[in-house]
Amino acid sequence: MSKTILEIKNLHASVEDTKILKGLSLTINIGEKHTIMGPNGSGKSTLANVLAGNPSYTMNSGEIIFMGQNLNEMQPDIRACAGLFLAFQYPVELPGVRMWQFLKSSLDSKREYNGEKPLSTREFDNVLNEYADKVGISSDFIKRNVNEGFSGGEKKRNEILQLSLLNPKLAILDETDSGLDIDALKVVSKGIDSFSSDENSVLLITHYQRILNYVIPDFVHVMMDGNIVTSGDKTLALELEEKGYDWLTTK
Amino acid sequence: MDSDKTFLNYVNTIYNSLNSEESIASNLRNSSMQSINQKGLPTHRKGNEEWKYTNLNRMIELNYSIDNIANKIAYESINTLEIDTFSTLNISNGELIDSKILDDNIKTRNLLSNTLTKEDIAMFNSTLDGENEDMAELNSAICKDPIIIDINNSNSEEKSKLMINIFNINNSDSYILNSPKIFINIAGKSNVEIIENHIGGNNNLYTSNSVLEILLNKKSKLVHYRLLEDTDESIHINTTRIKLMDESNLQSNAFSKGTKLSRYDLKVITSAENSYSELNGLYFTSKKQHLDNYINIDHIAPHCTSRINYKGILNGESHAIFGGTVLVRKGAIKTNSHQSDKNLVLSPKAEIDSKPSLYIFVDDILAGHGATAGNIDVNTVYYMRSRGLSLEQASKMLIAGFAMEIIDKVENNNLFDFLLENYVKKLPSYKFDF
Repeated sequence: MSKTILEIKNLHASVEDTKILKGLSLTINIGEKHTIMGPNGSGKSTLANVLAGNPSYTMNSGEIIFMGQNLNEMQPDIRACAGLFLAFQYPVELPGVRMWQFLKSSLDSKREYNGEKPLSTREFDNVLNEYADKVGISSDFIKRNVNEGFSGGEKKRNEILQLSLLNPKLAILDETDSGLDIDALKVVSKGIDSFSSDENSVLLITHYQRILNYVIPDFVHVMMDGNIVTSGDKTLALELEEKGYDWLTTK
Repeated sequence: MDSDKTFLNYVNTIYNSLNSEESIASNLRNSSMQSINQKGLPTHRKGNEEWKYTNLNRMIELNYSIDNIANKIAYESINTLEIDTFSTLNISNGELIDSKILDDNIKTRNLLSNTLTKEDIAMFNSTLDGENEDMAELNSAICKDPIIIDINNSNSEEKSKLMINIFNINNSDSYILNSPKIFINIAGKSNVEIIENHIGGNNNLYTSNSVLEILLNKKSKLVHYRLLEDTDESIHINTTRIKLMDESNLQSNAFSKGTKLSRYDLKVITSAENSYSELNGLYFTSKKQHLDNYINIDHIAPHCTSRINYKGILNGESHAIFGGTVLVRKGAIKTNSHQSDKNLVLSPKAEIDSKPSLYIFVDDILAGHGATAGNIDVNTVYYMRSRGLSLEQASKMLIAGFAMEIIDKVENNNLFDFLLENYVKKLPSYKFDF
């Protein structure tokens, strides 16, 4: 029997005074991989940000239930501790904040929320080194400031490193594949793929079919003008690649 | 103007209490005291660019009592930075109380000793030019115990390390005025590290008006740290002049916590070719504190490089200033200079006046300057919170991160740890409205 991780019902949301999401509904069960595609400005990133609790976005109406809890009442850090993770489209630079300190504090917060003891420095180093190695982040990067002076690809790898460390129940990936060269795309895709299991779910937002060769979705949804207009399986992505989005508006 | 009179009367009382026997120090005092009595005090004047944001009335109006003139008072009970490998001079209320010299290359002399040569006399005060140096003149008039420190380790592989503790101790409820004065002569090819630590006794009331002169001779190298550990209610005025000779190398790092009123007037003078100077500063103000950084570089000689990198964190209703000038004189060709001041303003009632300026009188140079002031970015905090950090944790980490850029320049591990414990950990977190 499938267990629901995320249930979005009739979601309306806006940025400043512009309405972006217009009655969107979506259900994600445990173990499922969903992909959202759609033209620029259709509301994909808004959905990701509303889910993660970005204070610049307002949820006007509707309901979001995450693992049985009303998400709208939870602060962004509580959402993260409860198991929601957003890999940012544009990861933010944190001047003067060391990677190690940031990652350790993040994991400690989550563990504390779940009633677990923080890892010792050695335990944490072991875990960190293992994951950093997998996404090709060298120990030099761990000593640096978060995302400061990182290339586009390095920032995205860093998002995947954080995903692996925090091991969320729901990973939302907002155009994580954008701007990556082929090698980086492979590393990032592999990272997502090895994270994904029967115990968690993935919501992958992308413009390109190519990442879906590595991370094979169970469902593909198309968003247009703030709503999901059609859903299908992985073949829908191939069809979009071939035909674009126009045929959906005239459908 | 009554407060001017009262203050001047207090200064004269100190002057009269000092040993008037003929000496270099007393000659210096006489001429300075005469000049001040003629000109009056350097109080706030309209149109005076150097003192535009700092009103010295705040210093003058305090309660000074002619019955309370600073005396030698023990400082032992005060906790401060101690590093075993450093020679230490302890100056209390303007007088050298004791010293622990571990290094034969460091020698101290006292201007009251009358054992100085003509060269010594010529050297003393030589970095001061009298321009906008009214507070240094006030210091000269009543400095009790001017000290010359010679450091010459040109024949040694080891760096000479010196800590100068400047204590201010007053157990009464009226203010005292201390006037420490130090001249440091660093011989050619010497390599030196100096920590200048200004410390106040618990909640003590005092005004410290200190002068530090440093002469960096040919091919010498100095890393200078300045720590401000003065009390909340104190007034701290400091005039520092550093003269750079050929190929000398200076790194100056100033770490300041705000007081009732403080002003750091630093001028670096590039007197000879190919010197390098890097002036870093971190200041932190809160409550109703007022802190004025007046940081100047006077490029006289050609082929010199200078960098100014100051950062401030302002909270409460405090007021901080970054002012000063990079002056590139005619003849200072191939100067390479950059100055920057960045501020994190955490409270709507805190105020920063950041005004770096550049005067160039020669063509062939590279120079730039910049200043910023702002609060923590909403998106940055959101990113951190999306990784599970609370609002308070995220803001604390960002504020500390802002400070770390300057603290990271400290290579001395003991001092680095001291700064983490006494500055970074005590930085506020910020309550955001979002």
